[in-house]
Amino acid sequence: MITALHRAAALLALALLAAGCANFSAISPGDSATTVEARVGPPGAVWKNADGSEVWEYPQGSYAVQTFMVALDSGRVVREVREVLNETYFSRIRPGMSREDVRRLIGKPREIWYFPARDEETWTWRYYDITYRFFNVLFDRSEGTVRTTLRLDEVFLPGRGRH
Amino acid sequence: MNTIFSRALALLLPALLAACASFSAINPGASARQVETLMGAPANVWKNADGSEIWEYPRGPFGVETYMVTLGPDRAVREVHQVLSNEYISKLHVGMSRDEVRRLLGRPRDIGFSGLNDEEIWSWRYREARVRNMELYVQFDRPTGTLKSISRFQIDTSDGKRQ
Repeated sequence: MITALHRAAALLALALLAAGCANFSAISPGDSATTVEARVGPPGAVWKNADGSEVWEYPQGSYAVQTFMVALDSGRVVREVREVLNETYFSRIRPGMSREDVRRLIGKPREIWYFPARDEETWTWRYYDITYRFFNVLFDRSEGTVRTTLRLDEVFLPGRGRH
Repeated sequence: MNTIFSRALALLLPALLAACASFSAINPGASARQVETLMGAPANVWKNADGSEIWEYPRGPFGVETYMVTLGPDRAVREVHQVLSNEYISKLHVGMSRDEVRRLLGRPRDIGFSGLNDEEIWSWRYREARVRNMELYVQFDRPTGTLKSISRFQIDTSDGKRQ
């Protein structure tokens, strides 16, 4: 009885895991837009470029540490699939960039905070680089432009976990 | 010329001395007047039911230390504490009011609001073990005005180039 329940629980857990992490490695350059949708579902956002090409954004949820961008050419054929929550993309963020520049580069943030005294808007992403970390982009709220970026490592107080 | 210089110096000197006034110079038994002479007026005064008082001295907005000077009903210093440390931060707990948090850690460096405006975040910067730059976030639920979560982060000062 117990064994059967365990087995069922394990199978259920596996199924949930498989559903949770859509398999972006199954998408390769040359695949059609239809194939992309069939394999990983509809994107969270679509960015259209002047030349007819598009970028499909796939954030994986606010506790996830990955966001995928699928670049399609004007013929709606996959050119590239990239995971953007890492230093390769963070390091391209420069003071003066707009909110849209940032959003197109690394996707939707998990949280946005306003700090009226500094006229600042902080966008936060969670990512993984040796440890679980937070990447923040600080904008001048009125200008809508990047001031700076900040990387934080969560540290728990001794004897206490997350609150 | 020399006279102007020494006159300017004479004017500047008290300001310079005040800026580097050290709380280690205040010992238990010192009078309220001595504290004011050395440290200036406190940012805030908390009066307790027994006639004692707590004087708050944040060294902000960029300061990473906040001092609390406790005076007895006789207006003599009882204790001096630097409260931006793990010892005091670990006294925070879920359900505390803004006032209780303010009394414990003093004025926050900044106050922010969530996008949906139902959460308020107070932040402090402080140093751990004299070298690590830390950021503390205390999140309040706005409708109830009570502490909801506490998070502590170490700031990556290498801009992602740590290894």
